[in-house]
Amino acid sequence: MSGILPNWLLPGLAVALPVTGSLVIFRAGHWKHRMTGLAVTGTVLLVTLALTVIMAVTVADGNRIDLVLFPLLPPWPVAFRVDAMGAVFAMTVAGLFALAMMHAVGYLPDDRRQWRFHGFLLASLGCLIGVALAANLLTLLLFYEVFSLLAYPLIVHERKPEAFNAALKYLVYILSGGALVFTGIVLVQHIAGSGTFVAGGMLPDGASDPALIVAWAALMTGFGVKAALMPLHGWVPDVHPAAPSPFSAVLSGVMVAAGVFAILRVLFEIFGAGLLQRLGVLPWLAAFAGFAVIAGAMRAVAEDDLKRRLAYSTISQMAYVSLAASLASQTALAGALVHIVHHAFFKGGLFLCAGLIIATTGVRRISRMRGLGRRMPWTAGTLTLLALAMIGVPPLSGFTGKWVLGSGMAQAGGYAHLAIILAGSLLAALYLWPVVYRIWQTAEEPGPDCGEIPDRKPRQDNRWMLTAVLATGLITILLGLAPRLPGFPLELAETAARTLLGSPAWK
Amino acid sequence: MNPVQAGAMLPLLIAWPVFAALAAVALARFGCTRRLFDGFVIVAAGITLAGVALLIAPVLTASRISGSVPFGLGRAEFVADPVGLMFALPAALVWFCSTLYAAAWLRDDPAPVRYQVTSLVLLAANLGVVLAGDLMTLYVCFEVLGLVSLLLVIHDGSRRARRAGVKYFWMSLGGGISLLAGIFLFQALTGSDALETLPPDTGNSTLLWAAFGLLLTGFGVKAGMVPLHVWLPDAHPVAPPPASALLSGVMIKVGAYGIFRCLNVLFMSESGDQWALTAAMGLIVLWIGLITMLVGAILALGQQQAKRLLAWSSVSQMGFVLAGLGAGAYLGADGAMASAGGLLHIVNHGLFKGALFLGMGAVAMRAGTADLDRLGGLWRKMPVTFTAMLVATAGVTGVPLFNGFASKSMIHHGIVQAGEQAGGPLALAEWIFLAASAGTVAYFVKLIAYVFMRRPEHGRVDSVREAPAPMLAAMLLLAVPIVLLGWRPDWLLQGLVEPGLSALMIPVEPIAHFLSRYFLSPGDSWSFALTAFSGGILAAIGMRFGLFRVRAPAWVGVDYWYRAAGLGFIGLCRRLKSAITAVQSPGRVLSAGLGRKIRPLLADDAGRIEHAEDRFFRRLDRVREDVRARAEALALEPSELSAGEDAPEDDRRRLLNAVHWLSGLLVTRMIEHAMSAFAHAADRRELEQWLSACEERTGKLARSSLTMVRSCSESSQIDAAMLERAWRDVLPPLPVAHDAAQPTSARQWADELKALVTHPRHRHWPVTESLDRGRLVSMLRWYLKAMSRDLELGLALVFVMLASAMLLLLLL
Repeated sequence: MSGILPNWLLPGLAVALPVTGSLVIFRAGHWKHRMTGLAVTGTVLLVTLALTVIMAVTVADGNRIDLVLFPLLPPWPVAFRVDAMGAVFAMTVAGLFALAMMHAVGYLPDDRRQWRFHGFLLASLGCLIGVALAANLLTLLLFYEVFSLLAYPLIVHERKPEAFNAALKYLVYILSGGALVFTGIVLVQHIAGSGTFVAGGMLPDGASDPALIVAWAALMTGFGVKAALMPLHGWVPDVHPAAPSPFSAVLSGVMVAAGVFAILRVLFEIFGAGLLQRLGVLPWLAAFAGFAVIAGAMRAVAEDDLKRRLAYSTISQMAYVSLAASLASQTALAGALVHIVHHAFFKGGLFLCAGLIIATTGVRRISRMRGLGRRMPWTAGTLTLLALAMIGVPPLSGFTGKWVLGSGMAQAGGYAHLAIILAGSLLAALYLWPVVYRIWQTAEEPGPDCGEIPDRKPRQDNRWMLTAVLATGLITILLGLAPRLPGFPLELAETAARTLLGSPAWK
Repeated sequence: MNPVQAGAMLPLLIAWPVFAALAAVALARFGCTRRLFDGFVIVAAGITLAGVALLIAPVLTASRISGSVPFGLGRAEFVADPVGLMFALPAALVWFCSTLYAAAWLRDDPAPVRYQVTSLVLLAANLGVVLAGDLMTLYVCFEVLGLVSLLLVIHDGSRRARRAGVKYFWMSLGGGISLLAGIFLFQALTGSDALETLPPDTGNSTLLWAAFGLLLTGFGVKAGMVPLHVWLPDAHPVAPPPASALLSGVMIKVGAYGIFRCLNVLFMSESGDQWALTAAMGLIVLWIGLITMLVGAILALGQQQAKRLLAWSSVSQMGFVLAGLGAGAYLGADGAMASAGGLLHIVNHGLFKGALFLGMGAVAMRAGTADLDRLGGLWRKMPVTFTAMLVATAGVTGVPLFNGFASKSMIHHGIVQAGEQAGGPLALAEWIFLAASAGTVAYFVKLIAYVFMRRPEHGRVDSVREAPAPMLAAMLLLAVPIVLLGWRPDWLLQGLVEPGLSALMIPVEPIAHFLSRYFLSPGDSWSFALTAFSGGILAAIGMRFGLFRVRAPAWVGVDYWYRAAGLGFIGLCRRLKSAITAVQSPGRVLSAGLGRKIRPLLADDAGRIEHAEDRFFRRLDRVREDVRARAEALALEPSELSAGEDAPEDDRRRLLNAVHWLSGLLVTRMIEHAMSAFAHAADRRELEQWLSACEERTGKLARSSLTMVRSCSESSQIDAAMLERAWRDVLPPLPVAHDAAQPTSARQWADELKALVTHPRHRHWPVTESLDRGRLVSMLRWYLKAMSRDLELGLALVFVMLASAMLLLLLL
């Protein structure tokens, strides 16, 4: 980006703008018109989105933007670095937050508390962008932890008892995970004397194996909690249903994905593919991720609460990425990154659909969703579309990710990995098809029907939510039909995968 | 048109039906007349047919034309070669006839636009599969074809259709995933996704066999190959007849197309080890084809529903096709005759099965049923339909001078030749073939006899008329090529099949040999006469003695086991969940000894871990929600809304408000008493019983609150005592006598309520509800207590972890 802004300012602005915006928005309850507050929030979101897009375009051909702010602990500065992987994730984050905020405008009651929600949402957007653009482990952890804490008021926003319970569980899980990551950072510091991400790995080959393995395990377990790897997933299925739907979309679409993103950073920019293969730890990751894909999906099949089912599905889908990472193959990795982005939009969209359904009818249980298709045809249609995308039906976005991922796995010789992701997509059909079937079911068959429950919200409130929902549907179609357009995730993901595996394009 | 121009037009031709579909949606949106819409759709299908026909000349001159458009992950490559055209031409023809027919059939249908638009999209997808130039394009079109056609299967929305749709969805999804896995493995073998032969040095590996098996499964599901055919006999009959004609006549051919490509392109090789490999694959397909034709024929004999009979017949006929293709691949360089027979039979089957489904549809439409037991004697009433169906029957049974004859005798010769070459059990192949052919004759004799010939039950078919003209035109349009191809199969065999096979490096002399030596020769005609004779006898015996009504138990079919496996897996998932939530988590088991504090942290489901008090409250709260919902539903019943008021909408809203409030008020009173009883209770089991009674009587509570609202709006008198009575009358007495009524606050609520009911300005529920606030405060108190307790624990955990990190660091 030449001309208006110097490049180095971009990452700083993308992080600072939403955080500053949030401080303004907390006051919006005292303003006269609701629209003023909404306009400010919307502007901040759109400008942030534009900044991330500009960054993505700038780094698409392998460039890099560096920005070192100030030292935090002596050798560790707070520093940003924009590369293809960070830029594509930042763009996804900003895009999904914009949709979630639009949804929240309709979802939340029009009172003073809504500004609390928007404020925290903006602040957490800034932090997640910070995670995406962090240049070293400590910066990443710092922003991740702040984000996790900011998520607490968002989760309990509706002040439901189960939300308090779940948020507490969430805090304990996430903070313990953070502590483990911190342990890992200390070990990395001990081994290498720094923690800056370097494509292809930065840990010296000569370090003792046990120390390396302990550091790896600490970092993987710590970020595994956030990435909801199966034995560490406990918070996900409780928090997602309890949080307000727009925030569930964010949690599922990008918060969990940020954990996976951090895992990728650690694997390929701290350890490096060569070192990992020498240590022989990748099969362990593959085993856990494969287990998570299948077991997560099996848990999803048994759930009747739509949001809980989607939460388990997130566990299953995000494990695809860890599974692909364990192969350390370029195409599979590109597929994994694309899957992160596409998953953010279709899973986020599914949560937004669920939110719209809950806000309008109060129905959360799938077994009671009969007749929704006739009552809310656009929402039901989009839900169907997004479900098909998640199953991986062409030509929708889920298929793009699945194709790149699958062909990468087959070419790298990971046939078991391939079998697991295909089984995962069959299981995705097994837990999503009943939803689709139920919402389009007509009144002839016996069973509860949601058609008679009166609307909880007047229709015009739904317009915000409906627009957000339809937008996710459109994005899903667009990313499926033309993923190769310049600046789209696929191109960036391929650059990123090339870089990650140690052939940096900027040299 | 020269080949290059034709290649550039190819993607456009395939995209055209999609654009036409979009235009049709727009037309329907802007309210054009029915006639214009039908005309547009028919013309669109006609243009596609013309476009495909125009491809013949350039394809024959260049033998292969290609074009591509940017799409998805790269470019969508399309290639037209003679074999592809063999599939595309009949597809476009049957589609055109079906669209014409559908325009008349859908006269009284509630969703004609959906049907026609779906049909056009499917036309594009179908052409896309058979003209695809690489594996990705093929897969995308295949999946779209498979899943969009679900809309045709469930078109009439009946329960039967939805059940068939579910089965269809699972089978085609599973097939699609298997196909995708096969494609990935094939890509891993060749390194590209071009639709080309394996490199010669791949050898004989597990990977290669896995790829073949997965591709065969994927295409086999679509082709209705036994044992993956289970969806077909359910899905084809429930679709509207024009859609059945498409599903059965055209779309299942896509599976055969894939299997042909697998055997003759992807896994083919001319020499060495690999030839043996191709031959082994051909042998597998040949056996599957033989089993499929026999199973299909036997089950077709047992059907009493005409459309189901035709669907099973499709299974059987696909068996003939697969046997031909398999024998062709097995025979390798000598296999041209069998392969050509298979390909020709695909075209033939499209024509006659299309005509048969359309004809049965016309019969069902006029006679009101497709049940063979209730039809009869229709040949007088529907002579044109009868003629068309008779011609199609002659085609399918292989009467000389009708189209099935040439293809069946080619397949027959191919199977005999394969049997001679392989020996062993394959010597049986010819007998299986003859038995299946005799079965074909038998079930079509049964069909024609039951529908058209035998004496009808008195009066049942008196009012039947001939079908409308467009439907007749569609049927006749399919019947004409049946006769033409029966007379001159060489047009197709030498026009398209020979150039197609020779482009694939298969020597084509056997085809010319067949045409000159065997076609209409006495030997082949005799073998037809033999099958016809035995088939006729079989039909006569079967119909006379009711043999066709014997039913096997359900567990004999693979269908039963698929279903059992699917439901069993879901059951397993459910059991897994209940097992985990019962134990909570392995961590929870370990921590059971650590006491109550740590449990919520490790529990799998935070919502379930709560104190007895919370649980009790939660259940009461559910009762409250339930009562409220029920009361509102009651208030919305038409009888409750007094007719004749001047502002019914206002009235309704006021009633709703009042009911909402009062039911909340009533149950909240109850909850207060119950909670305080709980606090003082010695024996909580009694309270639990009381609560269960509560949960059962929510309907009564709802009704009593509605009664109260009515009495209130009539007399404007309501007090705390009334509230108390309202729930105490309905429920059993609270086990602990705890009399803590709060008349003052109840009075206040009652005043508010009265204002609400009598004051017209309160149209909406107020933002805060004082009743709920009280509940919220007490609840928040409990949770704050719980939270402060557990937050401290969480923080402690964090510090422990930090400390252990430090310790670890020191140790290293």
